[in-house]
Amino acid sequence: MKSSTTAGENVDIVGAILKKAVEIVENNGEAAKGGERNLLLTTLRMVSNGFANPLLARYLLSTTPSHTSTTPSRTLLTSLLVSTLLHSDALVRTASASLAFNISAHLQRPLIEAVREGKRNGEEGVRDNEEEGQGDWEVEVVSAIVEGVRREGGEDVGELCF
Amino acid sequence: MLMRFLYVFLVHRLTASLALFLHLSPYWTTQLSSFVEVLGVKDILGEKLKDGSVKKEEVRRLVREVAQMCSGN
Repeated sequence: MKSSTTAGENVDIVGAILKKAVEIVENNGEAAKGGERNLLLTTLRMVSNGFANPLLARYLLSTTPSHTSTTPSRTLLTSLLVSTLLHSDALVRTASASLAFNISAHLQRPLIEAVREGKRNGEEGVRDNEEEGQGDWEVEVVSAIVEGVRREGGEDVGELCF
Repeated sequence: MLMRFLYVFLVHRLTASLALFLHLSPYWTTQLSSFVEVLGVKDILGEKLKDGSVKKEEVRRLVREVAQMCSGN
């Protein structure tokens, strides 16, 4: 999502925040505490809410690099999602699970509409903007979600930090 | 109490996400169905029902349905 500064430069604000959050999970992993943990939580909640807007959702799942960032936003989003689904902090995992849910609901909507319109069930290309490698990406995200479910134990439910 | 609530919330959210990723997916036959079988999703979800940690009927029903979807039935 581009915004213009007063100097007229285009700045990818959402991309910059995502990049910072990914840096935190890559550098600190489970050790992210205090301000860094709060930034992770806020970023996860912000991008979750972003899926309410179709344009922002399309940007977040875009696989083409923007002119301000060489890393596509979907790559950043996936790194953030996969790492935070397995985070030691229960609130971070909760925010991450909400993000996973919003992504899946966004991807499901056109499939349901296609079935309603009588298109063949499971036909490829039903979703707008579907890129090559979408299947592999879905496998990656599904695997992270399954690992998240597996790790959620009945008694040992992890740490809760305030 | 809060942790128990978060746990049920997490299982519910993650299972619902899984259901939405798999249901009607164009990649179900080519990639996802064999993948969920290899991961043992049916057993992982079955464990959640067996250990009694999820008591809410609405969540249990969802977990049961997704497990059934992943078993290929």
